[in-house]
Amino acid sequence: MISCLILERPGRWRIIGLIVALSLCAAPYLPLLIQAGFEVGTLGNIFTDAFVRSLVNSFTVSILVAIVSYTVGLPLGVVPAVFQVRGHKALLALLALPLLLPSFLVAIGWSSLAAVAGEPIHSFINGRGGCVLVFSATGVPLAMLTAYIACASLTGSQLDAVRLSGGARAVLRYVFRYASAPTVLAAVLAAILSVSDPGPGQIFGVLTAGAEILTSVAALYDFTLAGQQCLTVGLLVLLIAAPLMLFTAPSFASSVLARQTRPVERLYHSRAELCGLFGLVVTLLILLAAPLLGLFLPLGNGVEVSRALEELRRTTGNTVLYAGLASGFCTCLALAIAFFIGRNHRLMIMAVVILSIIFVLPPSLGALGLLQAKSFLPGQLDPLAKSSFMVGGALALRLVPVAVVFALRSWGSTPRSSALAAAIQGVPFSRFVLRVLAPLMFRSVVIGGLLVALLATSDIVTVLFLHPPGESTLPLAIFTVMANAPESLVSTLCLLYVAGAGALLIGIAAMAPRRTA
Amino acid sequence: MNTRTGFEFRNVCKSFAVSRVLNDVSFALPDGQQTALIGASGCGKSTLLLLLAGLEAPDAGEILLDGRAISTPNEILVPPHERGVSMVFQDLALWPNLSALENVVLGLAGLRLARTEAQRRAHETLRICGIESLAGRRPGTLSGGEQQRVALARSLAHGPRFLFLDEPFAGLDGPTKFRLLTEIQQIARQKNMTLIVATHDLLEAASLCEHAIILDDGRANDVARIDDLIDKSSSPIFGSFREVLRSIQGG
Repeated sequence: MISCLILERPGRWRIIGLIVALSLCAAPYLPLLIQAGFEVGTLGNIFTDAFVRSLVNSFTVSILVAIVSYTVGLPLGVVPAVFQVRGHKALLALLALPLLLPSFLVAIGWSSLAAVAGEPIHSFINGRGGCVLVFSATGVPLAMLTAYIACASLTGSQLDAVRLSGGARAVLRYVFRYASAPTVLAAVLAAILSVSDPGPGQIFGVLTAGAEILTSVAALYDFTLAGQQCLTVGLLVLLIAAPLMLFTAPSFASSVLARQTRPVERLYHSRAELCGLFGLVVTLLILLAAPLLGLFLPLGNGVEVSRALEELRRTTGNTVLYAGLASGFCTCLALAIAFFIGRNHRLMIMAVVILSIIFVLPPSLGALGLLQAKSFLPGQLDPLAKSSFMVGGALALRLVPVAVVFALRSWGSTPRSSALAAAIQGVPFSRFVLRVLAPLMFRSVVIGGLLVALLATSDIVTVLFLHPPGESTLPLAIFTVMANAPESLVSTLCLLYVAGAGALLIGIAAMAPRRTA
Repeated sequence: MNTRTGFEFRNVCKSFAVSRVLNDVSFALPDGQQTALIGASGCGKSTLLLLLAGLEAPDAGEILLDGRAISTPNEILVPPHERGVSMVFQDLALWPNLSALENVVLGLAGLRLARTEAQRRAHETLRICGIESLAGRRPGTLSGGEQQRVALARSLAHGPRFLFLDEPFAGLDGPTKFRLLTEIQQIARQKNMTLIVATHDLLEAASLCEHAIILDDGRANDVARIDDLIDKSSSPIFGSFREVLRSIQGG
């Protein structure tokens, strides 16, 4: 009989299991890295003027995105976490919507709004400014939610002590400092993710690294060149990300993944409430309402219901299938990783560092790596390699870090003595998991799974590179037709996608655990 | 030869990270003797209970039960559920999503009883602990004292030979605490159980046990009678206790 003690005992199997699981997550990126080792001499050939310019553009945009995300996201997350701000939950949920939308949808919205607005807004948006706006729509919510979650892991008594020593101002200073490191990490993550995203660059006519890689694959069919470009971007990203992850991972692990003992009792402060509310509403208007308005403007010329429904009918099955597979694989892998980590702080930091690095690598690097790995597989495995499982698996491996955060948080909220009590009473492991652990972790794990499903749906690069012929998803269909199809059709399709994502987001918000006193 | 000689610690050491919690601890806890582990907060009382229960393994030394080695360095030879022990944890460790009855029934899962028998036994133990009427309620809806009783019922239901109490009455008001102490003592006598109580409260220890081990700076003395310790022990805990007694008597 397996004892419940296994959940809490240390052992070499934990580190071995964790290394195996993390290696699996890193596996898609290895083929290109290995190839690069053999072709170091030819790597210099890819540095054409255009590619260098694209790198400069991408990294300039990403630096600006990091600055905007941190400076706007930190106060927006901190203030509603510790001060009473009416309606903050709904506003935070709405602000999280851009996280779940493919960035090119937001870019289309800004592009059509710019066309109506005229100069100088038109020139500002159709350039790096537009890219910064679009990527900030994901960067700001990511930083904001990280700051919010980090502050929510503070205990009521910690804040009471600070408050007694210096009032609301001291509390604010304390929580800003407390949430700062994980928020920096989130802002930089968002910025780095923007480097390999091809959508906004293509729409605004800015030469970006992501767009260059896409052109190499989709227009030139030069997979070797695309692989080398991906690798270059990946190595540059690693150069920035790895030291940062090492520096901020411990504070991320202790604040974002911490267990709360007594929830924070939000303070009432009229000026803080006003500032919080004002900040949230203005950010919402700029980052979500404006691009959505632009996105739906063409609907004024008519709604292409029948063609849109036809497209929807063609793609819904695949969209749901890929998202479901990704969510399922990802949740299982995340639970396994959480199980291997247990309550070992060192293993947790190691996993956070490695998973964060994997998360910021360009998705095209993993997708192209898998494409290359497919060519080495024996013919008998072809049906599997060219199936939906490959797409779902690739998306899962890419999004594991998201699910791991939820799995670790829910595991961290179950006290150690729970499993010890079961062990001492001789409760069989499977019975304990089914009766106690699974119900306690269910909600958090399901929310993580749904988020992964939504993020998988909004991923176009992995699906574009790996999907079986004709088995496209709705966002990929929009991305493919947006240049040639009538604007009203693109708008109708976008409306359908946003409505679907919004509905799922409401579902997630409804499932979110309630704070208890 | 008596095969039920109880627990024995032989030169046990235990560290967590860089701090050594127990340092070359040796003592014997005879069967049927109610013993208190007394020491200041953080002196290693809970660790000692976890080692006895088989929830942690020692770094050095060995632990014996009835003369047989049950834990050796970094190895748990006899798993917790085969040691005949039960434990009421400091945080009670109740499973929050289950009712009081379900907590007790799940605690019996290791005995592989028929469902009806498990239910009957759980109801019986809840009755003994005076909370049968609360069987359907979840821990979050119960008061501190009621939660203690549920934890106690879960520990008693499978008829353990040893019952470990890890600072179980912290946070309870005086009358509730002493009512529970009396009841536990009665139950322990009825069921012929050996009680081992970790506490820093001498009144609590003296109410439940005749013997005590003092833990100080990672080391433990031999088992002694609490009466003798109160009179003679040089430990700061007993020293301050004597002073309190003197000031009360003097006042």
